Amino acid sequence: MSSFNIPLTTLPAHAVIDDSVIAGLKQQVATESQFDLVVARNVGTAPLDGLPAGLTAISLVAEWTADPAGVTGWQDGESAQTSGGPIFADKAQTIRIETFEIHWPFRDNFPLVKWIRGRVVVGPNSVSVSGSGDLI
Amino acid sequence: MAQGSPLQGNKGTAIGATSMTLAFPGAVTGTSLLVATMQTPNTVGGSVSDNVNGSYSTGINHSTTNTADDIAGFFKSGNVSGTPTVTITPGGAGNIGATIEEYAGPYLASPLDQTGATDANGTSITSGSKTNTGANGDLCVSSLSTATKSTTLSNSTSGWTVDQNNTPNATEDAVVGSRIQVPAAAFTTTWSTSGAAMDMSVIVMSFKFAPLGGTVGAPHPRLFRAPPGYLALQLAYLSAQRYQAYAPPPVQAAAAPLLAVGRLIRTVTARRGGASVAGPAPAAAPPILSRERLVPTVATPRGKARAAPPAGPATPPITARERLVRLLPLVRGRAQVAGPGPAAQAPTTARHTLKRVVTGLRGRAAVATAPSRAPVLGRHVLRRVVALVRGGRALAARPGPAAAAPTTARQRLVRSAPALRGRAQVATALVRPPLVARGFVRGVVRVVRGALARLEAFVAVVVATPAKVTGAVSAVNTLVGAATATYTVAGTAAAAYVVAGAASAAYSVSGAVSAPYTVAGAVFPVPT
Repeated sequence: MSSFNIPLTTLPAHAVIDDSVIAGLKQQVATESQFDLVVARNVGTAPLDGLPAGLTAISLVAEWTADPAGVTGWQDGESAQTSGGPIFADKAQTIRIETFEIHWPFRDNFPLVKWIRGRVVVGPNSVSVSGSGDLI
Repeated sequence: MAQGSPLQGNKGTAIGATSMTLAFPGAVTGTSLLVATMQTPNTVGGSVSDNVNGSYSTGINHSTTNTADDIAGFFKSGNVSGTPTVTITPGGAGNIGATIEEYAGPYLASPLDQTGATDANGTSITSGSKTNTGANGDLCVSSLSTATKSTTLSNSTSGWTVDQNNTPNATEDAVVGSRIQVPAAAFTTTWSTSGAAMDMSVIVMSFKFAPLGGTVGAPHPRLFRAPPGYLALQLAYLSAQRYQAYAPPPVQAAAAPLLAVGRLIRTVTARRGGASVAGPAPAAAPPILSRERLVPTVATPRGKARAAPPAGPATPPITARERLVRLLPLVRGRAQVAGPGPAAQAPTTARHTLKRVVTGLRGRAAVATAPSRAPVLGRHVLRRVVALVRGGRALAARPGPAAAAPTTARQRLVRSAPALRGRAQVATALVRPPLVARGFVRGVVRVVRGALARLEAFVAVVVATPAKVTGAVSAVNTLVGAATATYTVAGTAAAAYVVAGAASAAYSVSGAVSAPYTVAGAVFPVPT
C-alpha cells in the first residue's frame, strides 16, 4: 500500500498534475488491486463548487502499463470528469458531495498491470485543488 | 470462446462526477456484444459511448420507484473493434457505479430480445419472468442497484455467472451477471445482499444469438476434425453450444473435385466417428455425351442392330390410288383401269358378264362384247345343257355366221303372235351365235341335273329353243308353262297333246298322230 498527497494549490487553466509534480502519482504494482485518486471540491480561492456548472472543470485519470519498467505502453484504465457547482449524492439533493474521486479496482480485469499512474487535469478555468491518492 | 461467454470487462466508481470512463483491457472481437451498466441517482437522459465504436444503444433505463439508485443497461454490437474507452454519462452529476463487459458473438443485427425491471425491498430480489425468442438462443444480462452501499452482492441463480462485481463499495455497489440460454425459453434471476433488508432494483436484458458461421478456438476433445464445408460449420455450432472451443479447420489447398459418392462416404464415415479418408482424386475422364450413354443402353435390351437392307433395284412407284383403283372394279363391277405395261385391252366389265347370265336366264339376247363376235343367246347355251342332261346329243355349236343383227324383243313377239293367233309363223333366221362362256354353262348343267323331270317341263316352257318329244307317246303329254318355241312330236303319237300356257311357236307333228293336239285351249286340227 502506498498513499500520496496533493497539496492545496490553485492551478491555472489546463494545468496538469502528474507524477512529475507529485511522484506518488506513479506507483509500481505488486499485489495491490485498486487505485484511488481524490480531490476536494471546496478548497482554495477557486473551489470547484464556485465554477460554472456546464463546463468540465477537472478530470481525474488512472492509467496502467504492463511494462515492468513503467516507461512505455501506458493505457487508459479509468477516468472521471466533473463540473463546477454543487453536486449531490441523492435524488433529493440533500446530501452535498464534498469531493471528486475515482476508485479503480483493476486487479480482476488487468492481471498484467505493472505500473499505475494518476493524473489531474484542469479545465478551462483556474481551480484550487487539494487531494490524495492510494494504491491499495 | 463459446457464443455468449464473457471475454473481458472493467468496473469502477466515481464520486461527484458528471461522467466517467472505463477502458477495455484489450482489443475487442468484431462479432462481440459490448454491454455497459450504470447505477447512479439519476439515469434519465443518460448515455454511453466509446472512443472507437461510437454511441451505444439503450437496453433498459429504469428510474426506480424506491430509494435505490436508478439503473440502466446499454449495448453495442455489429463489427466492433479497437481497445475502446467507454464513457458513461448519467442523467445528472453524482456518484456513478459502472461496469463494462464484452460477450462473445455473433449476434443478430438487432440483437435486443427481452428487457425488464423489478423494484423490491429485502435482502434479495428476483426479476420478473421473461421469455426469450431467439431462434438460436439468447444471452441474458442482469444488473442491480441498492439503497445501502458497501454490501456484498451475489447471484446464485442456476445458469447465471457474476461477470463484474464491484462490491462492497462505499460509493456505489455495481454488479453485472449473465446467462447463456439455448434454446430460448423463459428466465428469471435472483440477486442477494449481505446486508440488511434494503430497497433494491434489478434489471434484465437478453440478446439473440446469430447462427454460427466459421469457427474459433481449440478443438473440442470429443469431436473429430471434420472435413471443410458445411459439416464443419455444423460441428462448430454444436461445439459452441457445449461451451467447448473448436478449432477452425485448416485451410486446405484447392482439392480435386469429389464425386457425390465420395462426399457421401466421407460424411457417413465422419458421422460414425471414424477418420475420414480422403478419397482418391478421380482421373479426368473424357466427357460422355448423353447420346452415347443412351445408345449402349438402348442397344443392349434390343439386341443387335438391324443390318441395313441391301439396296434393291429401283422400281417404279405404284401409287395407292392405282392399287385402289385396281381393287375397286373387282368389288364394285366398275371398269378396271388398265395398268401400265401391256397394251391397253378392250375393257371387259363384270357387268357385261353378269348381263350375259341374266340374259341367258331371261331369254334375252346377250350383249355383244367383242365387236367381232356375234351375241350368244343364253337360251342357246341352256338348251345345250338340257340336251346333255337328257343324254341327248348336244347341239353342235356351229360356227356362227357373220355377225348377225340381234333379235329384238319386238321380233320375238312377232314370232310368238302368229303361233298364238294361228298365223303363219314368221320365219326368222335363227342365229346361231358361237358358244361363249362355256365354263359358265357347265356350271348351270350341274345345277339342273338333279331335277330332270321338272327341268324338262321348265325347259320346255321357258327355253325358247325348239323342244322335242321322243319315244312312245301313249298318253296325254302335257306341256306346262309357256311354250314359245317350236315343238316337234316324233314317233307315234297316239294320244292328244295338250300344251297348256302360251304356245306361241310352231308345232310340227311327225309320224302318225291319231289325235288332235290342243294348245292353250285352242284345238288345232291334226296337222298334215
